[in-house]
This record gives sequence, structure tokens and C-alpha cells, in this order.
Amino acid sequence: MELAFDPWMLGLIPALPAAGALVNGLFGKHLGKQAVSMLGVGSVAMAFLLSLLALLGLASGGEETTSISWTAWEWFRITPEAMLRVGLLCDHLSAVMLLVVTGVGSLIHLYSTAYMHEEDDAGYARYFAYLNLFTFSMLVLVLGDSLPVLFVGWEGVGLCSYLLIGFWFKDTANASAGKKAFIVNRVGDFGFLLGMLFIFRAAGTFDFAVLPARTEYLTHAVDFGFFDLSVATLACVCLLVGATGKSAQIPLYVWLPDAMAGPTPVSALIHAATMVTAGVYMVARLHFLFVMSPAAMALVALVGAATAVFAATIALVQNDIKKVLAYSTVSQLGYMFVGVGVGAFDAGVFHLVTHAFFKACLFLGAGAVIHALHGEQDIRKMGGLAPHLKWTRLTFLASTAAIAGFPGTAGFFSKDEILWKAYASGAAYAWVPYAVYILCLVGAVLTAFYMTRLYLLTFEGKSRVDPHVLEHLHRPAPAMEVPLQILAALALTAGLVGIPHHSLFEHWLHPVFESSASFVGLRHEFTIGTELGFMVLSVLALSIGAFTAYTWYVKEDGRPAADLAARYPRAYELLSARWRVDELYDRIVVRPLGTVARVSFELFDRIVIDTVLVHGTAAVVRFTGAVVRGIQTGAVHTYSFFMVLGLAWTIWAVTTPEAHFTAEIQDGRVRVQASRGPGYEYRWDLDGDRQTNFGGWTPNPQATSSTEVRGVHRLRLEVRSPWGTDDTEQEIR
Amino acid sequence: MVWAFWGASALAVAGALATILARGPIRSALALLVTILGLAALFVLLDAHLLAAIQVIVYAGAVVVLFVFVIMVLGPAAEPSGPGGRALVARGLSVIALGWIGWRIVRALWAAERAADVPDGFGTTVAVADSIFGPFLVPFELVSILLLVAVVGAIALARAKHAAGGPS
Amino acid sequence: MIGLGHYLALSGVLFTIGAIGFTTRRNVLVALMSIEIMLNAVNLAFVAANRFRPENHAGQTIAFFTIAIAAAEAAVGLAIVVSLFRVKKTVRSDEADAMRG
Repeated sequence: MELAFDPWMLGLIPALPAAGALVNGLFGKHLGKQAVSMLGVGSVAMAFLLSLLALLGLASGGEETTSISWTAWEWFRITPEAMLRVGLLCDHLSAVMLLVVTGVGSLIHLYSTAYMHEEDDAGYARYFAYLNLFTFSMLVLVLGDSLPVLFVGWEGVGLCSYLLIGFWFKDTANASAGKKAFIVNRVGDFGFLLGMLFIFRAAGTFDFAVLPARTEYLTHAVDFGFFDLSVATLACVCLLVGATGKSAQIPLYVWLPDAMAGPTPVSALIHAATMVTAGVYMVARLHFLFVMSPAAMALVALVGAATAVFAATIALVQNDIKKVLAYSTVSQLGYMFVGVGVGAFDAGVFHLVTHAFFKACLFLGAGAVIHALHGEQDIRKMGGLAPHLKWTRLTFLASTAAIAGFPGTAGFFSKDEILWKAYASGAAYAWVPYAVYILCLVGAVLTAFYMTRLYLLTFEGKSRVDPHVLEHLHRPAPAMEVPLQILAALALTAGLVGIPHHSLFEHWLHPVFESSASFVGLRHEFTIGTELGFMVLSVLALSIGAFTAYTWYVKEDGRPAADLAARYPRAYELLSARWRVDELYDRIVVRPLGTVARVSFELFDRIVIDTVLVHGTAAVVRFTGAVVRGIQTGAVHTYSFFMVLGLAWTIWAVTTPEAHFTAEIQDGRVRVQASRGPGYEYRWDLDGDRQTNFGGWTPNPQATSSTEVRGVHRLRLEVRSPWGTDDTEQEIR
Repeated sequence: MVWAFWGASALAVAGALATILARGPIRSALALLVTILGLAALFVLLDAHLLAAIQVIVYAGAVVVLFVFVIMVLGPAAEPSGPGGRALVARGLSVIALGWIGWRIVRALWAAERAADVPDGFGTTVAVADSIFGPFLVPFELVSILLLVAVVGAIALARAKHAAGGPS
Repeated sequence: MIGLGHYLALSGVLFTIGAIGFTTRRNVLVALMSIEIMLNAVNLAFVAANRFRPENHAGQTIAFFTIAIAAAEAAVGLAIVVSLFRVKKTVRSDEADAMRG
């Protein structure tokens, strides 16, 4: 069955949330919460339906239809050959991303209607406007058919992230968190921009459809003195910097934990499911570029693996429910980077999708708990909530199992695939697969541990909740529970499309990545036994982590953890303080900038601009005025004195003679015309021979020579008047 | 007639110098009178008889008299003390500048041409009247208006200002 | 023979004397008289020029008007002096600096 999906309908997909943002933003506070909700949720839901249609359109299109594209308008011409267009491209990869963004997005929009219900009308409308705007930007990012369009979306989501993190901006801590997110992102964006420009310089285009064909230019080498890099490597490293900013990897992850200051649905949508995955998407989209640089790929994988472990270590000791989930997100994003870094692009994207499901579910669940406990976020003050929050607890448990990699869950399949490919794929250097695998495995153990810990401390065991709060427990509304249920169901079952060697997902994405298939692949032929062995290792890792957590926190009521902390206080403190990275950045970046700003202000602004330029100018004007004003004595004789001086000069100028003339040769004779003046008498002389070709002194300014003249001669005019003489000479021909 | 020219010229120049150098304004006024009379003589030499008469009647008889009247009204205050020191430089410069200008003018004009014959009736009242009421009629009418304006203006300016409500 | 140049030179000399008098003397009455000298000098120039170009009487007519205008100007100028004296009790021109600055 052929489904008619016209290309222009692609444009509708981002347009609907954009319209929602516009209406809610401008008029929302007058429309009332109900209308705002319908508009906000509805626009994204409609976009989801359209995305579904697009997917079906692609699926039913047959072998040739691998993408739908639509050009909105022509933007501007960069070089005579390159015209920048604003266009959308929906291939199989985009279709997947579309469904994730709009699907999970709709559920979170729905959840928000209940979670944000206590806001006033203006705040409510503002929230949905921002959320819609974010969805619009993310869709532009995912659908963009060229790097600049992608970048527009990239920046847009950064902006919306800032707006939403600092949603309750009246508290300056929230506003600062928003600023931090935006600024750190900006640092990454600089890298992204550089990478983009390197690509353009080498390949002459930004277009995703055209770039794969121009790859030969990207192998050119750039000389840096004692080493050189290919353009591809250079561009990829720069793009990676951008990706670390947006996707919260080392070194630019520091904004994400702070971003928890925003409303929890925001954390779920932006910082779990969509925006932070933009970096992974970007690498996948530019797979043909990355595979040209094995060094860059190795870097991506190593950064991802290191981040995965690093963030997991911090999550071990966090006590704020959202902070644990934040570091968990950073860690899981690391796994996605490992996936795309070793060339398993479909594995990385698959983990992106499954992570969207279970992480969103976890965040929304955490939101439900916080909402129920009227704002309590410290897990040390939770516990024993299982009987009170039935569905929340079940969905949270399901998602925890998924993230830990419990066999059969979606997370199991996606994470396991990454781990396997990390070990099995070829890489730039021989040690890379082993290092990456070890790190990922350690990360898996830690993940299982801290997630189980989180679940247990929140829902199981003795209740440590403040009794007063417990009395007024606020049950979650259906609008909150339904998304939780849907997402948990997906977290459990989505793995079915990704079963190794029979993966529908991989098959679906095959047309996108097939051009790179020859560059990436397994190191050598592994047997299926090896693969199964590694799967067992993953399950083992999960078991160790989960069992340890269970023992420590339920059986022994947290005492082993406390003992460990007491025995290694410095290590515990280091982890608690998140490895002091923020403090480090503060010391090496923030403070120097502050100093520069202060010096600029004190020195440059105060002294140079205010004093010298502004006051100085005024003083100069004032001084000059005072001096010049002296002429205005108010007495007539002074003025007449100046008039006399002027008169004298004028008379001098008028009466002093000046000699000018024009000459031409006509019919062999020279005709001259001199300028007039008071009392002038003229004498002409040809070639200085003092012969009277023109007669002697005459008051007539015009004259004609009396002899024939040919060729080149010098003609001299003397002027005489009662006040002086003057002469001039000219060449005539 | 040559001595007549030089005599009248000497009179005019002496009078002018005396006007600007005299100690008090009344002496200046009388010196001005001398200048005017010298000029009247020169006009006669130039066959401008009507103009000479007008010069004496109007200038000597009205303008100078007006000056003398004002000096009389102003009384002793009309004779101020000497000039300020700061102005000396400016005055010196003025003198130099003006002297230079004068020299420039004179040097040129000195070389102007000789005398020519005049037709009969040149400079007589009839001839001048023909000119005034002929080609120069419009300026004549305008000048009469100007005189009216001057009269009104002089009265307005010189009228003493009374307190409000007093008799005007 | 006395030529046009003589008369014009005399006119120039008289004009210069009048100009120097105007810019140099502080007494406004003397300044006004200097103006009269200047006007007279100009009259002399016109009449002399007319004498040596007797085709018409333009020069004398102009001198005629000049005398009239000079008289009017003297009247108004003296009225101003009288007003000034009433306010400032002085005829010194350098004390009439109310428009200073």
C-alpha cells in the first residue's frame, strides 16, 4: 500500500510545534490552562502522527525511496557554486529520531500538564511555549538537510535549554544554572562551527546529500609543523568538541547536573531523551566523515568510555534523586558515544532510542515522587514508598532493570550490543578495543549498583520520610501515570527490534550506514560462542552490581556503605564533590575571565572611556569654547577691528595679480586667452626669445600670434598691475 | 586752479586728521566742519555746483549741527578719559592694516587718467535734477521713505522712557 | 594738471583716515564723525569719476543719495548714543559690552 506523504508535509512536522510556541507564547496567558495544554500537547502529538506517516511512507516506498526531502527556501549564496538552502531531509535515521522526539515529547508534554498545574497562567503558558519551541528546534536539528540547518536547530535547543533550566528564574541559583548550561554549550558550539567550516573549505558544500560524494577532498593533509592531520581528522575533532558540549561528555559535561534546577519534565525531555542525544545523532549523520579518520573515531570511543565510568563513579554517592539520574545520563551518553565511536552506528542509535524510553521514564517517575513528597528530593529522606505510589514504583523498577541491563529489557540488548562491538570492532590502535571494553564493563557494574541503590532507597525498606509529608502524600494524576506506563512498557519490550543478528532496527538503518560498512567491521571472525560469552559477562556485571546494592542497602540497612565511606573518607569526599571538576574550571576559566572583566571595567571602561574619551572630550570642548569666546567682547570696536583685518586680506587677495591663460593653436597660429583682473596688463613671450610675436604690454587679455607656429613651444605670460607682477609658463603643441 | 585743488585737499585732510585726533568731541565736530567745507570746495572744482551747495546745506548745516546739539545735551560726560591699555595693540594693528589698505588703494589710483572736457550745463541743478527724476527716480522715492523711517526711528530711540502710567 | 588719479588718491587718503578714526577712538561720537568722513571720501570719488566721464550725471546723483542717507544714519546713530548714555551714563564704546560672550 502506497502511502502518500508529500514532501511538504515534512515542513509541517516542525511547523506545528512552532505555531504552538508562537500562540502560547504571545497569547497563552489570556487563553487559560486548558487551551494552552491542548495546543501545547496537541501540536506535538500531531507532529508525532505526521512522523508516523513519514515512516510508513518511507517503509512502503520500496527499494529506491530511502529518503524524503523538501526545500523550504533558498537562504543565501556562499560562493558562486554553493547556494545555502533551508531544507529538510527525512531518511531512515531521521525517521527514527523523529519518532523518538515527537513520541517521547508528546508523553512528556502530557505529563507536564499535571506536573506544572500549580503554576499561574502566565508561567504555565510560558512553560509550554518554551517546550514547544524546544521541540521545534530539535525537529529542525533532526530534519536538517545540511550542516547549517542542523546548526540552527543545535543552537535553538541550546537556547531553549537555557530558558527552561532557568524557568523559575526568580531564584538566582536556577538562573545561574541556565547560564552555565548555555555558556558551556557555547564553548562546544565554537568547536562545531570550526568543524563545519573545515568541512566546507575542503569539500565546498554543507549538504548531507552531496557531502558523501566529495570525500576525497577530506583526506588532504593539513600541516601543523611537526605533525599533520587530515582535514577529516581535524573536522571530526572539532565536531567532537561540539558534541561533548551538547551531549555532556568530558570535558564539557558540567552543565548537566546543574541543569536539574529546572522542572523535572524538562530534565526528562531535554536532558535525557532528546537534546543531549544531538551529539550522537550528529556523529551518526556524519558517519561517512568520521570513518575517514580512525584516529577521531578512537577519540570518540575513548571519550565516551571514560565519561561513562567517570560519571558512574560520581553517581555512586549522590543523594539527590535527580542528580543521580543526571550523572547516569552522562554515563549512558558515554555508551552511545562508544557505540558510534567503534563504528557500530546502529548500536549507538539503538541505545539512544532505548535510553530515551527508560531514562524519560525514570525522570518522570522521580518527578512523580518529588511531586508526591511536595518537593523532597533527598533520597535519604525517602524509602518505603512502594505501597503509596504503586505505578510509579513499578515503572521505576522496570526502567531500572532496563538501564542496568537486565536480560530481555530494551536496555539489555542495546547496551550489550555496544559492549560487544566495542570489544570486537577494529580501531586505530590495537589497545583501543580492550581499553574501551574494560571501561564499559566497569561502568556497567557501577550503573547496576547505583541504579539499584537509587530504587531501593527511594521505594523499599523502612520509610525515612518526614511523617508530616507522608500524611499529605500527593498521588500522581493520571496524566502523569499514563506516560510512565507507556514508557516503561517500551523500556521492557523495545529490545525485540534489536535482537542481535536478527535486528529489525539494524536492517532499517542499513541504507543509511551502508556506505561506511567497508570501513568499519569486526577485527576478525569471532565465533558466536565468543559473543554469547560476552553477553554472559554483561549479565554477570549486572548481577554483581545489583546484588551488592541489595545487600548493602536492604539487608544491612546501608551500614557497609557508611563503613566504606568512613574507611576511605578522602575518596568518598572526592566523589561527593564530583571530583572537584567544577572547582577546577572555576579556577582556570571562570576566575581569570572575571579578572579580565574587572580589569577591563576598572581600567579600560572607567579610565579610558569615561575619563579620557567622555570627560576629556567635554573638557576639550569646554576649554576651546572658553578660549574662542574671548573674541566676543561685545564691544563694537573689537568687531570692527576684525572686520578691518578681513577687509585687508580681501583687498590683498583681490588686487594681487595672478597669471593664468589658456592657449590653442588654430590654423597655424596661437590664440591665447588670459584671465582678467583689476588693472592687469599682459605681455606674451614665445620660447623666451623676447620677439614680439604678440606685441608688447597690452591691456587686452586676448591675443593671436603674428607668426606661424608649429610643433611644441613654450609660451610665457607676464601680468602687470599697479600692485605687482606675476608670470606663468605653459607648453603648447 | 591747481593751487585751489591743493589748498582744498590740505584743508580736507587736516580737518579729517583733526577730527580723529582731537581731545574733545566738540573740537572733533568743528574739525569735521572744516573737512566738509574743504570737500565742498573740491566739488566746485569738479563742476558739481548743486552738490557743493547741498554738501554745505545738509552736511555742514544739519549733520554737524546735530552732532553739536547732542554733545551739548550730553554735557561734560561727552568727554571721556583716555583709552585702556589692552586696546593699544589692537588699535596699533588697526592703524597698520588700514594704512596698508589705504596705500594699496592710493598707489593704484594715482595712475588714473587726465582731465577731459565737459559739456555745457554739466553739474547744474537742471542737469542733476534731470538725472534724479529721470533714471534714478525709484531710488529717490526709496530714499525719501528711508528718511521717514530714520526720523521715526530716531524719535523712538531718543524718547525718554517714562514709568508706567506716567504721561507720555 | 590735476587728473582723476589725484582726486581718487585724495579720496583714498580721506577714507583711510576715517577708517582709522572709527576703529581707534573709543568715543562713539568721534566714531560717528569718522563714519561721516568715510562717506564724504566716497562722495568725492563718485563726483570726481563723474567729472572725468561726463556722459551722464550718475556719479553726482549717487553722491546726492549718499548725502541723504548719511544724514539719516547720523540721526539714528546719535539717537542710539543718547539712549546708550541714558542707560550707561557713558559714551565710551568699550563700556557698551552687554553682548559679551
